[in-house]
Amino acid sequence: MAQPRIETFVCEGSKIVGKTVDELATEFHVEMLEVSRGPIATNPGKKLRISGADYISFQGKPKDCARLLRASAQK
Amino acid sequence: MKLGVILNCFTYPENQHEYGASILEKVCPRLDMMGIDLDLENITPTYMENKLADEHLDEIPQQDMAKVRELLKTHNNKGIIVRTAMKALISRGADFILHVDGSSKFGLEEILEKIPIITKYIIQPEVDAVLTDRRVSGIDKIRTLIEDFEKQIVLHKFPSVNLKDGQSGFWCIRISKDFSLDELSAEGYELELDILFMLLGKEKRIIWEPVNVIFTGVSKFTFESNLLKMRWLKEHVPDVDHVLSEFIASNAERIRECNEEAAKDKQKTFDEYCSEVRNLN
Repeated sequence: MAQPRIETFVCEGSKIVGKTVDELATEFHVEMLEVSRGPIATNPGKKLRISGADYISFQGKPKDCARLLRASAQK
Repeated sequence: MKLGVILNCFTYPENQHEYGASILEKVCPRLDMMGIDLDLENITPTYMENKLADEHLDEIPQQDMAKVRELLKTHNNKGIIVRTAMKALISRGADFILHVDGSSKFGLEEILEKIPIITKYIIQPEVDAVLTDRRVSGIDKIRTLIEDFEKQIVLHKFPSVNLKDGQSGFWCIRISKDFSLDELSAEGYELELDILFMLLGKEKRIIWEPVNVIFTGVSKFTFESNLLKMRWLKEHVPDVDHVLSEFIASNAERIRECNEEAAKDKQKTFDEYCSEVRNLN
């Protein structure tokens, strides 16, 4: 199965606000590509925190991406 | 092959994520069977704020940045936003771009059913675009009337075309070698007309797919949006005033009904719209 890539906005106060990208990658089994204003690859080891009203991109299995997409809206 | 999807439910971010998740779960497996990868741009309220950040500036259409920032404060900025999303998807290797308009005009089930159908068409090498054909505009009576007038303007420029719709926000185009985003200039709601003119001007092969629209009566589309769209049309088509006169003559009863309804709702009438159109330079 091909792995879709998603770019989306994180809703203010969603349940993933406050998690690090590493935590998101582990919990949702996706590869996090970008958070807000910079590719993760250029910030190795940096713990970026999603603070709400931010932007994320990620890639993974459709079901895992769908879970993360829903979580980025759920409060 | 890669399908870049622009999900443009800007007005309803709470729907946006559910629509995107459903597309991933239900459409992805069907696309996979066709050998298609999916790249989804989920356009939501902070989309442009992020794209305007330094790392994404090269994704913004080649226009004066001060003008872009000014446009983004208005509701009439669909062209800028969608062209930005198109540029991002093309830079990531999209072979086709599919756009789904927001405001819940297209029901989720309809979107999930149509995406695989549209994809089956667009992957055929001889097909350049799949445009959807709505029965109504999905907005209100005056907007439907104005869209019919705008359709006559398109037919005035391209008289031999079998034009079914042309302004539906559910469309898919092939990113062929001769496609250039620089050919598009739309800033606002004239985006679909801009794409249509590009396709018709190059005699591209278009497939029309019927689509159901939910009448919600809700839209960011304003009287001013109609005029901005008409200003763009006047820049691209000669003799618009002549087309308007012919349209008025052949649609007198509809116009009268529309005017009465608009006056009752204390909205601008079609007559006022016509007057403004004639005054546009």
